[in-house]
Amino acid sequence: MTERDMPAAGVPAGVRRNVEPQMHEAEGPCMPAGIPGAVPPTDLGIPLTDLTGPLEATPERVLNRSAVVFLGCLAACAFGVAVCGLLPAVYPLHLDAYVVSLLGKYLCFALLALSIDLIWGYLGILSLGHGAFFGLGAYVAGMHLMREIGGRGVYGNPALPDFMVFLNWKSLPWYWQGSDNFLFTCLLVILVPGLAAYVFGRPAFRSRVSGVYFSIITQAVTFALMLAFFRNEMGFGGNNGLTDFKSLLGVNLQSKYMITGLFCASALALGTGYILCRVIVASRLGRVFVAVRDAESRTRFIGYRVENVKSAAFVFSAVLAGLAGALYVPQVGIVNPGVFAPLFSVEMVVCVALGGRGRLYGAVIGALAVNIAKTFFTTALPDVWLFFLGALFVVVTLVLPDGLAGIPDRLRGSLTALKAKSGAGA
Amino acid sequence: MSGDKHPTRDAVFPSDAVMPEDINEAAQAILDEFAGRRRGMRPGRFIPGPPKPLREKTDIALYLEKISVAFDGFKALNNLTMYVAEGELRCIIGPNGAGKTTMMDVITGKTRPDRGSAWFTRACNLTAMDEVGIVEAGICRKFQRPSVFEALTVLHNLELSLKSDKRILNTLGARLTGEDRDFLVAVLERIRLHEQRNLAAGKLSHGQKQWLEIGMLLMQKPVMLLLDEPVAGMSPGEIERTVELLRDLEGEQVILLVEHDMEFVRAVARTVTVLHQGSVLAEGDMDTIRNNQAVIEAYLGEA
Repeated sequence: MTERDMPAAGVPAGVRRNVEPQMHEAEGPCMPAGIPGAVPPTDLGIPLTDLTGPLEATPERVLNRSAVVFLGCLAACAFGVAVCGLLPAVYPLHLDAYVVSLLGKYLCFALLALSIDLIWGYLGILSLGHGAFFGLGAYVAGMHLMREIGGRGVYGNPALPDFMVFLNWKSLPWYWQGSDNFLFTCLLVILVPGLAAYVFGRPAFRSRVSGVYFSIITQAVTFALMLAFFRNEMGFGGNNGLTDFKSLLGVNLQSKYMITGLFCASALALGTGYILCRVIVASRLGRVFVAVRDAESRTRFIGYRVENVKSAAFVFSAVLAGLAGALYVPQVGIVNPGVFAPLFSVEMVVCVALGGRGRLYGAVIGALAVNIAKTFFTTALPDVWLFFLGALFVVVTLVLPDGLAGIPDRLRGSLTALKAKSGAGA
Repeated sequence: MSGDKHPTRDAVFPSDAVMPEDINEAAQAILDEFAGRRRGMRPGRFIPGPPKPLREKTDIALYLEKISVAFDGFKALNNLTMYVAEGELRCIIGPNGAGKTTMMDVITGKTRPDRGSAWFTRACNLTAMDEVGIVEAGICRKFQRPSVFEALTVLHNLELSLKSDKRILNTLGARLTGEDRDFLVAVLERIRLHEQRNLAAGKLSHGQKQWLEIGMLLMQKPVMLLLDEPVAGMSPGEIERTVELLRDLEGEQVILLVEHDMEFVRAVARTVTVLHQGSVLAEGDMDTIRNNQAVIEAYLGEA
């Protein structure tokens, strides 16, 4: 660097210019850059783990280990509960009908949580209004159950549900037509939430509404639906909703066969929903979901129509949610605008976060854990429940960012770290 | 920018020194300085030799004519006209805010021009197509910041990028055919990530992510590649291998390259276009550009 100082020390200008290139030369070695070509191709500071892995992008298996374990547990528990539910009351293992339908209700919530996890955990769409689709499915099922009451209602009108008689309506509104048909109702349980999700989701995703804006809109939509369903003129029983159901397919809703059957149907729906979600998640489409979640713009610029992917996933998720709602209604015996309450939807999102998103079975675990806790607290300590829920959410996000389902992985991680440490020590 | 630029320029031309009579010589020094300073490298160190001769092709692949884009009154592009021939590797340089990225946005359909026309060959009117349509027509883009799917492995990143029917049901049932697999392996070798193939993309180094992204573009068998600062954040060794990669690709595809790194541009470019304030300031080979009075003034003005 002495050459650099030299010119300033009074050397004539002409000489100085000759020195200049030298200065430039001198700069090179001072710079931190290494010698070109000296960096070996693999020496880039990357731990080259898993070099033995398969070369081809192997299709992920739909029924991987966790899926088999989950489905096995679900089937075993469902079978056990069903058998115990059917046992006569004299046996010690007998489960009360109330408990069986309560467990069935939990399974419906688990299916709803699963549907939320599919779009939130994999696609990054946080819907704070998934209760809306659950509610639509529930109302469709409720309408059929209302029609089944027939002449057995308080007013004994075989053609009109009680609340319509009370409102002095003379005939069924057009949208109640056909609701007495069971198969048609089953079709509507799929179609109504799916169509609603398409009509709402498609324009939203097309105009690239995403992130927190989308969440707020879903919240607003479910709130609007709640206000609408509160109105008597809507023809869905207003404030009281649809209730006082008697039977389904001619079988008394209170009979233990019906209750056990509904429980099994819920377990079956959850299992089927889980397998369908696994099929999607394990396919290339599932990887596109993750791609959209992590780098939406990149996904679009490698040729995927992101808005179509999002709409399709949203519709599928809404169908699962609607199915959960439809199974929920006969087991609790009532549906009212409360299912559209934003709090309900948020609670389900909390369940997913608590269970651990992006794993599918995590959502199920979360929904079961939260609802069991809810049943306990709302009977034992009703004032504490909301505080408990809030505290749970805070603690889980802070301590267990991967949720309850992430605990085994965390333990395994710290165990290998411990092993590596002791190995290094020895 | 000006704050840290001046002392260095003063070091090259001490304030009490007489400025060289030849202004081109001064500009050359500044361009060298500009190139060298960016990566802290002495210029001219990794040039592997002169570019190979381009095969004769005169068909024009990209037509950009009189394009203007304004954001809130700021003219990002102002009457930009440019043509790129088939098989050409064209470098776009220019000071910050010259409109380089906006131009890429227009070509890829991310931004609609207020005026002007953009055609890809004579078949595709780019201003009337959406992003996915443009990708399907064969124009693929690498973003300024490396943008890969960090949660997925290198293999899956490439698999998703494969040129295929990307509609939902097809994607749901998609399987890699043997042919696809061979192509995937070839791309993997080309971007030198063979050993990292089962690593999550998020664990790659910055330079490797840049390569992976270039690989993702190659998987789509593109007709035209748009590369926005492909060597940003790369080590000298990585840059050298990127130069080799681009030399390799030249002639197969039209490549449009935006880069700040003058050394890199000098190593790969045959024709350079200088953008300034949203329009083309100069066009020609590196030596012509270097001696262009307007270019020198634009860079001096920015500094």
